[in-house]
Amino acid sequence: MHTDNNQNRRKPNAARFGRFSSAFFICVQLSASVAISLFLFGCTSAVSSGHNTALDSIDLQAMTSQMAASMLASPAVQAQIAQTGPLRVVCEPVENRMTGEVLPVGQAQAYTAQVRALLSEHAPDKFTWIMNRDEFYALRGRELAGVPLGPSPDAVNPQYALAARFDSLTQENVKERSSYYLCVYRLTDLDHRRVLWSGEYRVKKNAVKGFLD
Amino acid sequence: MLQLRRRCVFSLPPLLILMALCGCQSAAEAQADQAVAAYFQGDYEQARTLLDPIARKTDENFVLNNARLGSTTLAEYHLTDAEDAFLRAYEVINSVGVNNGGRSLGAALIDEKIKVWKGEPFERAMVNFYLGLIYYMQHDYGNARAAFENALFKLRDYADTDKPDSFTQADSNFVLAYLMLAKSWQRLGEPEKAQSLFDQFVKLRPDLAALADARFNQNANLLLVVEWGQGPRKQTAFDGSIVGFGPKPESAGPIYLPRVIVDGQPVDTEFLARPPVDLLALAQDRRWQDIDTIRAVKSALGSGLIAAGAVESMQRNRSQQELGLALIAGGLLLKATSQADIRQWEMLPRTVFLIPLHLTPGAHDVTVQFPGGLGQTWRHLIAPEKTDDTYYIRPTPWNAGPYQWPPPPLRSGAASAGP
Repeated sequence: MHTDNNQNRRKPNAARFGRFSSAFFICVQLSASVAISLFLFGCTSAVSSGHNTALDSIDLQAMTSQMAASMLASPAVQAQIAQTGPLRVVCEPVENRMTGEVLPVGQAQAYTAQVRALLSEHAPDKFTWIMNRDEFYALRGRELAGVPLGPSPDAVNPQYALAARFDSLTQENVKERSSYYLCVYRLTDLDHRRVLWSGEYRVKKNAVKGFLD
Repeated sequence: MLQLRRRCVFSLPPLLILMALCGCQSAAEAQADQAVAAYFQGDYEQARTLLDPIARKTDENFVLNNARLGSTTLAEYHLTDAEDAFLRAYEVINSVGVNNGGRSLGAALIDEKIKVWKGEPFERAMVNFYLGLIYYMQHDYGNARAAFENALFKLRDYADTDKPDSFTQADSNFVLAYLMLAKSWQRLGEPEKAQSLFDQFVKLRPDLAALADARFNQNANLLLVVEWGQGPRKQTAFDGSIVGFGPKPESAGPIYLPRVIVDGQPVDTEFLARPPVDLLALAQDRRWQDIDTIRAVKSALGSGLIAAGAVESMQRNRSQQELGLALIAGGLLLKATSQADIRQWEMLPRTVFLIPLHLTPGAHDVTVQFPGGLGQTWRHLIAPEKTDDTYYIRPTPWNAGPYQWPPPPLRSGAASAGP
C-alpha cells in the first residue's frame, strides 16, 4: 500500500518532469533555430542601416537647387548679365568650417559643382564656367580622355568666383549628437571684392544614440 | 529512452551549428590576424595586401578592418589610401543605429561579435586623430581641425552627463587632440582660437606647457609624430563573459622618452618629447554597458542551469535525467552565447609624442631614438620655410632605417602630400 502510494505520487511528478523537459527541449530547439536564422538573415551591412548628422545627398540636392534658383533670380546678377553679357565664373570648393565634420575634397567640390551643373543646364547663355585651377590640373593629370575640361584656367580670366563656406554648431554626448548647419554661398567680383549675390541654407540634424551605439 | 534520444537528436544540430557560429573564426578574420602579424613584423606591404580586400566588405568588421588598413597605409605613407580607410571608419563610427534590427538582437542573444564593431571611445578618438593627422600632413587644415574636434567628441562617451567635471576629465586624458586642434587653427590663420586652445591645453596638462607655446608652434617648421609602445589589449575574466583592458599603466612600466638627433647633433627636446597621452590609462575608463549586463546575466544563468542539470541527470528517474540533459543543453547554449567581444584595434601605440622643431629651412637627416635601441632614421626630411611639414614615425625592431625622403608612395607625386 505504501509502495503504491509512492508510485502514484511519482507518476504525476514524472509526468510533470516529462512535460517540462519536452517544453524545455522545444524551447532550446526553437531559440537555437531563431538565433541561427537571425545570424544568417537578420544582419544588415555596416553601411546600410545607420544614419548620422552629416550633410547628405538630400541636402546636396535641396541646397544646390535652392542656391541655383536664388542666384539666377537675383536682380543684381540679372543686371550684371544684362550689362556685361555672360558672367565668367570660377567654382571654388567649399571651405569647411564645420565643427567636427570632415568634408573630403570630392564632396567639397561637389557642393559648388552641382550649382554650376544646374545653372549650365538651365541658363547656359548666362554664365561661362571656368574650372578651378587645382581641379583642372587634377583632372588633366588623371588623363581623363573624352571628358571636356573646358578652357584652361590660365587661358581665361574669371570675373567672378562662386564660393561657399559651411559652418556648424555640433554637440555630442553619451545620448545624442546634434548639428546645426549654416551653408553660405557667395558670388564675388574678383576685381572689386564685391559680393554680387549671397544665399544661405540652414538645416538642423539630430541623431539619438541607442543600444550598441 | 527513445523519446529522449529523439529529443537529443533534434536539439543537437541547431545547438552545434550555433556554437560553431559563435566559436569559429571566419576566413576574413584569419586573414586579418595574418595582416596584424605582418604589420608587427614591419611588412606593411603584405599587411596592406591582406587587409585591402576585407576592409571593403561591409560586414561587422568593416570599421575595424578599415582602422587596421589605415594604420598600415599611414605607416608606409600611402596617405590617400590611409585617408580613404579612416574616412570609411569615421563615417560608420559617427552614425547611430548601425546595429539596429537583427544585429542588436543577435548581439544580445547569440554572440556580441555580430554587432558592427565601432570600438571603444578611445579607439574612436584615435580613428579621428589619425584622420586629422593625415589631413594635417597634407596641409588640409580645415578638415584636420574638424577631425581633431571630433576626436574630442568621441571621448565624451566616457563622461557622465550629470557631472560637468567629467567632460574635463575625459578631455584632459586626450590633450593630444587639443594640441593638434590648436595647431590647425594657427595654420588656418585664427591665432585667437589657437591661443584659447593652447591655454586650455596648459590648464589641463601644466607639465606639457612648453608644447603649447603659441609662438614656438607658429615658428616650428617640422613636426615629428612619434609613436611608442603597445596599446591596450582586451582581456576577458571570469568565464569569458567579462571584458576589460590591460595591462594597467603601473604594471606596464614607464613610457620611454625619445631623443631626437638632427644632422648628427642631438636636439634639446627635454620639455617637448613628453607623452601627451597614455592609451593604457585611457582604456581603463571603459564604461559598463547594457550588453555587458546581458552577457553577465546569461553567463550566470548558464552556470546555474548546468549545475541544476548535473544534479538532475544523476537521478535514477528517466524523466529527471531527461530534464537534467535539457538543463545542461540550455546552460551550454547560454554559456556559448555569453562570450565577450574581444575584437580590438591591435595597431594602436601606447603613446604618441608630438615634437615640433624649428630647423633651418632645407633638408635634414633626422633620427628618433628610444632607450633600448628602438629608433628610426630618415634622410633628407624637408623643413620648409613657411608652415610646417609633418612626419609620422613608428619605430619597431624591423624598421630602424635609414630611409630616404620622400618614401616610394610619395615619389610619384600622386598622393599630393605636403611633405
